[in-house]
Amino acid sequence: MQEKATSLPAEQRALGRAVRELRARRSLSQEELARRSRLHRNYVGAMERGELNPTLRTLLRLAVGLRLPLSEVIVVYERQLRDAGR
Amino acid sequence: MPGGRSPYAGSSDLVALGIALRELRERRRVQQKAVGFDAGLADKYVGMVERGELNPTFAVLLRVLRTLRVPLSELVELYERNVELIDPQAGEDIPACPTPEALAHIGKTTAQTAAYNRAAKARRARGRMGPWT
Repeated sequence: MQEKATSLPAEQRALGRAVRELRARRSLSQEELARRSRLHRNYVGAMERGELNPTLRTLLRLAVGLRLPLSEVIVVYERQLRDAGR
Repeated sequence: MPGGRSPYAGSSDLVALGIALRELRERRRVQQKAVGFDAGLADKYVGMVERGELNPTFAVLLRVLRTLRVPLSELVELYERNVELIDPQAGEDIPACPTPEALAHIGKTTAQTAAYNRAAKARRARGRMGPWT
């Protein structure tokens, strides 16, 4: 199947790993992070698996749930992406 | 934007992002259309993001930034600086997507379509318009 023009699988996987890493650092369950971010629990799970291409506002809500500025989430994402490329 | 103002226009989070993107693009002296073309987006799209008229996805932001050779972290840092200047409270309550305004907009257009269809049906019944209208 052709890659959907709107998704970037490798980057989405790296973002998912970043969210999982930061959630673990805060010792939060997916349910708890979802509740704090006002997202559905299934959405957080799918995002951590790299299945979703979230909007800016969804990313901002996740950062709120993680009690971090979005820039810190993105720094971890960029490290995850570099690590995956090695 | 067809059908009036975008329901997102003026939201401080999206405006702050748009200003950040415009700053990065202008620093590199690239036109909106060129960025859009290289990112595989419609001509209007980059302008709409820069004006804060839409809530772009992660993949769209990455595609745009790739053409500018800028990491996402740089855009987000500029965004955070802008939000602090424009509306320091913006981060505390990020609107759900779709926003209530977007839902109201959809409701309005649905009602307009229904009204148009009713009027067209009435005109057809009076025999003043062909069956194709």
